Amino acid sequence: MKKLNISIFFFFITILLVSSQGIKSLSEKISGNIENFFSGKNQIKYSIIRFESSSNLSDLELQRFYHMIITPIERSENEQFRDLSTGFNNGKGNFDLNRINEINHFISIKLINNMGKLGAGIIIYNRNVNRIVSVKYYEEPIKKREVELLRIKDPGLSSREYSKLYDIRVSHNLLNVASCNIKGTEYVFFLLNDRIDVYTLTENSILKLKSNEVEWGRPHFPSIQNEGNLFLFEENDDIFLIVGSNFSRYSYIFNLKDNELKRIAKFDFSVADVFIINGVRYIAGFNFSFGKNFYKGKLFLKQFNSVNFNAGETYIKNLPDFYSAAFYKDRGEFRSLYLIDLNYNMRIFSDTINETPGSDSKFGYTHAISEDVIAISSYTENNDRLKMMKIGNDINTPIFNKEIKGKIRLIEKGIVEGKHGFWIIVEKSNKGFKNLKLQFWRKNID
Amino acid sequence: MTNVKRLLIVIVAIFFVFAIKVRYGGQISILLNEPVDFNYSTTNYSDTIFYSLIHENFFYMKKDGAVFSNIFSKFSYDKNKNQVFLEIKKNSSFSNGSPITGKNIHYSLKVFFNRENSVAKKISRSVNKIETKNNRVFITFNYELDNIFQLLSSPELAILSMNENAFSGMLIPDEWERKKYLKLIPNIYYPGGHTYLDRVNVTFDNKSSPDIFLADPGSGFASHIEFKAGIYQNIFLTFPIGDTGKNTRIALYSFLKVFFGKYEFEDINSLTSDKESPVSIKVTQFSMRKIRSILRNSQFKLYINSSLKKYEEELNNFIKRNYLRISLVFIKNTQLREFTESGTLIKFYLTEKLFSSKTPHVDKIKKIIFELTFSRFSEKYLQIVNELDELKYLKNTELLMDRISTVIDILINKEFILPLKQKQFSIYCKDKFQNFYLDYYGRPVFRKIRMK
Repeated sequence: MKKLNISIFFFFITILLVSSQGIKSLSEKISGNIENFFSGKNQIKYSIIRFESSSNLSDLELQRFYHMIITPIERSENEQFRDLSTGFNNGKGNFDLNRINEINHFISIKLINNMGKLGAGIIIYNRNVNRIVSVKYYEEPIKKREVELLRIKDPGLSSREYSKLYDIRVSHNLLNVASCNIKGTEYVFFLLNDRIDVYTLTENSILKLKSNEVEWGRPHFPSIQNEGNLFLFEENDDIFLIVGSNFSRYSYIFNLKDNELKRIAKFDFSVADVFIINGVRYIAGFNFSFGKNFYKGKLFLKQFNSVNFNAGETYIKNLPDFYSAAFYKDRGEFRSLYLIDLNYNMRIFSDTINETPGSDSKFGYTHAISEDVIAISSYTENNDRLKMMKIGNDINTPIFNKEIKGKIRLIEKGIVEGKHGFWIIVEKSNKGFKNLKLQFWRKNID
Repeated sequence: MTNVKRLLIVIVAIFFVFAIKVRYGGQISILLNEPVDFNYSTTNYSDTIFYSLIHENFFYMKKDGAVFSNIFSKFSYDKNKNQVFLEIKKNSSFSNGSPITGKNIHYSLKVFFNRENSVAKKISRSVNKIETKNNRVFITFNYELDNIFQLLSSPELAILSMNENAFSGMLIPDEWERKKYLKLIPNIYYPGGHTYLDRVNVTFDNKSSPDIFLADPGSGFASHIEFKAGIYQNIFLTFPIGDTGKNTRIALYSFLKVFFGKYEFEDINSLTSDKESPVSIKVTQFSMRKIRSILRNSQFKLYINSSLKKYEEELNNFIKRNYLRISLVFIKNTQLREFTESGTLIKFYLTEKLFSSKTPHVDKIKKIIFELTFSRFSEKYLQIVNELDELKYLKNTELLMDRISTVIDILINKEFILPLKQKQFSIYCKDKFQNFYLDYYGRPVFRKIRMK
């Protein structure tokens, strides 16, 4: 049965790859043309400021196609390209033209249908000399099936682009989220004010399996805005969940067995990760400034003892107070710590917890690291942006930069269907009513 | 990066980035009268504000009349059983970390019912029994009460611990230098959530430049924004046992009127406010010579509510300068009943009452009768109560006003009460705080105030 599934999977992938040739080829020609034009002109900043379609592509298909074009350009080592897109509707892209003063060259792309082929006209305009400096036209035959593939959640067309896999409306009380795969079933855990809900993910839906109450106990530090930590890790085929909050003095460790969570121990800090330093495993975490919306500047490192969680010795390192922290690990070894401090500055600490020169860039207040990619929220007046950067690269050079409709409240690393990515909790307001959406963003192919 | 770009980033950061997460920190100063102690009291406006900082009310009423609570996770009224159900939020604690339980709610209700307060009397008279079970409270009434949760949002009904050093409010006392200041810090266990501010400094001397202070409406301070509280505070001279000679009564009234004339009070010719009263009260005021000649040969005690204690020294000096033999006894609201029940004959009692302009005039008159006539079950008192009872059946405004006039006439002429002075209030706040607003009772709500 398993062999049959694998065969079907590879058959499907082959179909996808073959049937996506036209679109992929056209997008590569466009991005290749742009990259070639600006190659070696490192001082030039450029953006697409017009992206229109007279073809039959829907707004979603147009958006997908746009991202196929810009993804390789954004991956370029030079920081020349600026993505000003803010959305797509009525067959054209919307761009943030308030930022065009940063730009030297504008690009206009128009898509048309030409006797069964999709054509793209590219015009590059130099605003310094007020004239068009390049005009190109490409076209490719596109099958109907290819256009349909642009619509589905995982088109498999780009090996680099991140896409949104899930977009689920969730409770106002959702504080944090974690996910894992147990024997082929995708599990998602929601930490709410007073409970942990266990869900399973299927192709098109999310099903609640169980609700487990969390008895936080005393001392209890009420806050105006509750915040919480949910850390999941696997050890010897056991699943452990550790929950902490800004209203509880202690965090609690639960063991998951048959969808039931059994409380087995408590810590006096909220756990953020488990990793190795100098061959020794540690549980690492922080404490909230109780009742408030930020963490106290102390890193707790507790020697990991899988038999008795409370047995290991605890070391404390000083840090600045911060809103968000994420650890970068390489094959389980701790490498660096990324903090967003109370002034929204990214602060980077080495494996000896010494601060290294960071960036003067300001971001939003939440971020996470999944493998070697850091995802971070970036605040704008109307909608936030989700940015992703490669660890080790300049923090100002995103490999992914996407407007998110709403305010990003939390980013957490996660794995779904074996692929690394990020859970994000987005707060949306509509006519005075707020609702929360949970999204999962991941790379299409790792 | 050019300086212009740096500046732009800073401006963008200030306007956009810092707006995204609420920032904790900062402090605010407020000028109030110095409290006597930390025991809950709401006699005057300043005290009402001060005690609202350290003691939490059962319920709060929004401007639209909707009621909410920071302490109860559930509350409901069962009309069939005439029963109120209250469930305390899980893990709620007083400022010393001790749990807030059903027993504390029961105790707080009992303290409230013993207050000289019209709402307390109204509720306590109808209560059949109060039962508690862990963090749940059931209050059963003998009959149906309208708007029970609005009644329970009375500022006088606060959650009290049986331990004097435990508070239920958002702030707790940290440092107190008498006659100068009292520093309050956040109560980390406050069930409504940690305040954004790090500290509230309550100052008692006019030398400081406070962020918030009370003053006459329309004073026009350039550095402060005016918030119309719609609150006024009247000083009354009352005669709890009624056994006083008319001359002595008017002489003392005239004497006190001269004394308080030195302060920022307005004259008042009504029980509540001159604007709304159908009757203008004219009490003949004696000259100082006549006052002295009447009072010089009398020796008596003037009982004064402790909310007026700041006038103690000046009033004593004023008495001495006029060679009178009046001794002052300051008592707290809660002590008044103890004094009368222990057989102490209180002939003269000087006190304050707070009114909201939003409250209907009839309700204010009722408040005065229930709280300042000290339930003298005489023929006169019963006559007043009878008149009041009939008011609720009157739909005609003229008739209503006529009856109110009759009630006021009895109160004044049958030696129950004399209104002395009035003070109106607005609150002034510096324009450097967000989320500053006043609740239904004109109190600044500090829970979500934060620096701009």
